Amino acid sequence: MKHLCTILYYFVLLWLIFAMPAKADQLTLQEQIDGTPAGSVLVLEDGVYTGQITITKPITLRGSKHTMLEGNGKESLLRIENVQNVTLENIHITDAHVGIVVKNTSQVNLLNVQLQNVWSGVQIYNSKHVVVNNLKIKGINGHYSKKGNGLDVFNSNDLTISNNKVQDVQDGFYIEKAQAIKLTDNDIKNSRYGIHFMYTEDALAEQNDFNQNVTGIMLMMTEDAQLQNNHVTEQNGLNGSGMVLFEAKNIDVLYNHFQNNRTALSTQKLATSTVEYNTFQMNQTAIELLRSNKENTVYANDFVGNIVNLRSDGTSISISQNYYDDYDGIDFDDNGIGDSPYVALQSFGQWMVRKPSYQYFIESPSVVLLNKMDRQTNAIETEQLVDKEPMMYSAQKATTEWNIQLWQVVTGLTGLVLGLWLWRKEASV
Amino acid sequence: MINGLFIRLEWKQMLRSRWMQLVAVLFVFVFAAISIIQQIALPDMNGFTRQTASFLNLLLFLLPLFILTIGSMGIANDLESGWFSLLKTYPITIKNYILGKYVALVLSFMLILLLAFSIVLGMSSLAGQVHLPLVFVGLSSVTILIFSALAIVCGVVAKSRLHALALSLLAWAFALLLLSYALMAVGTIVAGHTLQKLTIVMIHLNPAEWVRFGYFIFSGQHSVLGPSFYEFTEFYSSLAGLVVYVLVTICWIVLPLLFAGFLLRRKGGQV
Repeated sequence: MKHLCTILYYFVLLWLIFAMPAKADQLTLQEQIDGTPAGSVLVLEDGVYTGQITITKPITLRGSKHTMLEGNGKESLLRIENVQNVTLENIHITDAHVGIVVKNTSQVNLLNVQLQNVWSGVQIYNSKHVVVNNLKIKGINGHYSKKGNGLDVFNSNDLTISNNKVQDVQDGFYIEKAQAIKLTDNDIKNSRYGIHFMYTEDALAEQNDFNQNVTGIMLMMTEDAQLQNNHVTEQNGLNGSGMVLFEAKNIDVLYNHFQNNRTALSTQKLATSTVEYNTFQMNQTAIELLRSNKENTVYANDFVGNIVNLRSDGTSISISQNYYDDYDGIDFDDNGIGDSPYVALQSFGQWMVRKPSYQYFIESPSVVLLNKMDRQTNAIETEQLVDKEPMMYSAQKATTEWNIQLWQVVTGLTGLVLGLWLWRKEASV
Repeated sequence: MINGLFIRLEWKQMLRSRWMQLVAVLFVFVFAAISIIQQIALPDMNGFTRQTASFLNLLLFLLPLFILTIGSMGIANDLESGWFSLLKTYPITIKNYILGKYVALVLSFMLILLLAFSIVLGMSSLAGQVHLPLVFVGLSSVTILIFSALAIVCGVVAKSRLHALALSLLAWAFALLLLSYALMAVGTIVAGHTLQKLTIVMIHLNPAEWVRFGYFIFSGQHSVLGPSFYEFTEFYSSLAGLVVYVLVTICWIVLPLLFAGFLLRRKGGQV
């Protein structure tokens, strides 16, 4: 009996030491947050934390290397509401309807947060002075209509959103009624719109990378925005566009690189805006102008390898000093500007705008010949899509990588020798 | 056995022909030069770019033109010079004659294609901008198969070599240019959906458009054709669509050959 009591005593002692959880671990994450004094830092240990969380006091929530917040996929996981000075760092969020909701706040920083398997990543409402940096957002599988956006911003101002990677969502960033917003160095792919501006003022989108979205930047009913130094490539789905500017005013599209898009830049009802110093390379249509006005300018851009450089519905625009690789004029006075105007007007381009079924014929043999004839007959055009000062040289320097592929040289030579030997052998008497 | 000998004989004659040799040099030179210039001028990209479009147009412009003229004039020459009458004294049927001419024509142009692609492959790898998609090789072969059959028809219909040349040029112009222009002109007066349906009909009835359409389907570039053709291209991107594409292609080869045989029987009678 005495032995049995001793064994039982040691068993209870061991259980108390090893099996019973520490008191701090017994607290839920919400309880830990509630217990953290305002202005201090709560460092979360590695581990998986479940349950909804709300932050309503100024604290820093800092995760460790493997800190994960896990939701049930049906509700918003982390809410930051009615508060100033909150920072969220090094957190991994998974399985949530909305990863983070920020509402009625000021001075909120979201840094190094990874969100995956979320319907929507981050939603920001009625907030100001918000920094979102280095977020990685990966949405759910399925059609765009079944997904939320990577980051939503509503009625907010002074936001800096930079160095984020977003993929597989509806819109990478959906910005509505925002003011003074900067979006820089973000990487958005495989989504519907990379950035979707609505009713926004004073926006800057700079050095972002848009790849394989339906549209890189969709800008609607927005004023005073600068879109510059962005890399816009392979928006080449059925209705793919690099940028669509709709009913907007005072928009500057500068120094962007558009490559291999179905339509690189489509403007509709655009006013007092500029498209300058961009490179349009190998797009199906470089610039499409619908219901444009004369105060818009297309200046000093490079058009290289596009199938259609400019097309419009007949509305006019100021076009000057662009470089066109298919310009065949000469420069007698050697001032770098061609002596005859470049006429971008093509019958086929106009038809395609008016009747989309014509798109089947794009760059077909018949259209190529038609364009050649157009160039002769449209030489007298003076108003529509005419650049009176086309540049003779591109601003960009061409680079060629010399990279010899030995197996292809060998295959090519073998085919050539074999072919010639066969011809000679069979043709001999 | 007779047919094998006849094909060999025809192929030898074709390769010995000065005209064929000139065509081979011309095709290989133009094809290689334009391909290399395009590849050096523009970066290598996936998708439908001006580079791939000009590559495709080069094939569509040159190959059918050369095949139709050489193929049709070969047959017309047989009929005009009496070679065909001489052949009739041998145990060779009209079916064998048509098949022999067809196979010899196909093999000759396949050889030209081999030379052209080999040069492009070798030179483009030296230029560092390598892009010779397999789909181009496949569609060039389809172009040769279809237009060789049409060349035989043109040759059989023609009364002389000059007539054959005129007929083949007419067929080429219709396939490459005139039908498209006619449809574009019609498109200015009919509604968009009617133009779309007429275009679909034309794709099936025009061998040049059929090959061009094949490029968009097999290279995965069907979105180039735009939203108007979404359902149509979706169908041809499916397995059922692939089967239909193969069947229609076979029809474009077999039906002209059968028609040529029929015409030749009416012209010259059974051997």
